[in-house]
Amino acid sequence: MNARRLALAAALVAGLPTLAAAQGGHPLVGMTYSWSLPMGDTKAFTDNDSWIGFAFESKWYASDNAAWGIYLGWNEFYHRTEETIDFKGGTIFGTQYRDYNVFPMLLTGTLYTGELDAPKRLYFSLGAGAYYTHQTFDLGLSTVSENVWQFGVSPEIGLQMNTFRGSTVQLSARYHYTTESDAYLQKDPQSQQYLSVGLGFFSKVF
Amino acid sequence: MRTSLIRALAVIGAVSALGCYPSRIESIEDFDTATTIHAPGVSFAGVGTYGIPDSVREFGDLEDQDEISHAYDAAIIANIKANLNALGWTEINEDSLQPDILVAVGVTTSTNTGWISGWWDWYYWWWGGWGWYYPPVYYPYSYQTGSLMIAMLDTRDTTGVTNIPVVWVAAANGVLRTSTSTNATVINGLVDQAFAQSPYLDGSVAP
Repeated sequence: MNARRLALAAALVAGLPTLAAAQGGHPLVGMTYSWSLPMGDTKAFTDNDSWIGFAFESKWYASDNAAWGIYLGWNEFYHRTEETIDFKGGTIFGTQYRDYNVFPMLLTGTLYTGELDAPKRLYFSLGAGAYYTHQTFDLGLSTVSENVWQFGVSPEIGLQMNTFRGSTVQLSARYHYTTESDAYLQKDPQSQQYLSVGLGFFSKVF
Repeated sequence: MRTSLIRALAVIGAVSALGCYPSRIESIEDFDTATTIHAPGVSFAGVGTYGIPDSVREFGDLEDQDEISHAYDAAIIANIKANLNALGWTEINEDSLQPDILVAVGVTTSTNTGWISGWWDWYYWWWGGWGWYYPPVYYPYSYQTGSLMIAMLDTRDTTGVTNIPVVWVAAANGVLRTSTSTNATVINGLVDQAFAQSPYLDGSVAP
């Protein structure tokens, strides 16, 4: 439930730039659906690729080849396994359900190649900001969870295809990497790391 | 036109997300767990005999007991014996001979957190007149009603001992709550798992 509330809040916040459109420039506002591949510590806990990934994004052009923006995302990773867990003095067997809901909240800067109205433009973006993660672990009848805030960065490379009247389609690859935190259930320092491949649809707000 | 497109994509996205949302519970077996603990530093090398009762004892909170099925008691005991025999151990009559290991089998009739009291009294009178104590192992779990518990008491050296140690405990959480919620295959599968994840019982490796 928290995940869905946060996703709704993200959508509302990402839409705020439309209110600022009248102050100059024409921001691009859109949504990206992404497939994600966990890596590093994220993969160690949830060794599954994820088909649950959405982001709401706004971009303001500072010039024909540069823009800044806001990125609010949601990626969920989950993993079911029946691995045994060894602890000091014993072992537990059972169906484990492991889940990460990761919410990146980033400020982004983007550089574009080519002319503003070119049919296709390559771009490189770098985002930085807060990552909120809700972690859940189920074993048998027991459920434990944890909430973690981390700082992270997120480089992105993509292809923007202008369609008509300012609408664009974006195909992108984005890597997420956070600082380590020992607030996770594992109690060892953990970093969120994953690669997302996304397809986004954006519209210019007049 | 563009607004409609964005709205349509948002709706499609939301529907897709709900459709793909993972199911945390796929079957009742997802609740099943098999947990084993062992006393640190105790070796099972040299164990050759065991004694075991032919019933599954109930224990728990006397003022808040749930009804427990005993439909599978015989199958459970038989399966435990099969696993013990597979270790190379031999069953003997504990009433007339002293085994190396005394095996206790019980089922909880109420939900408990941490170690369970109640076994002590029964076994104290049932055999030997000794008390017993649990291994000093942190076990961060609660036992639900209907949990099958198997305990091994080390009776190899009881000279001058008033309390004999419990050196191994297995718990299958909640599997015996009702006769319709499970079956002998599921229960014995968890019992088999408990022995499988305790390879040190045959004495070939240290716990």
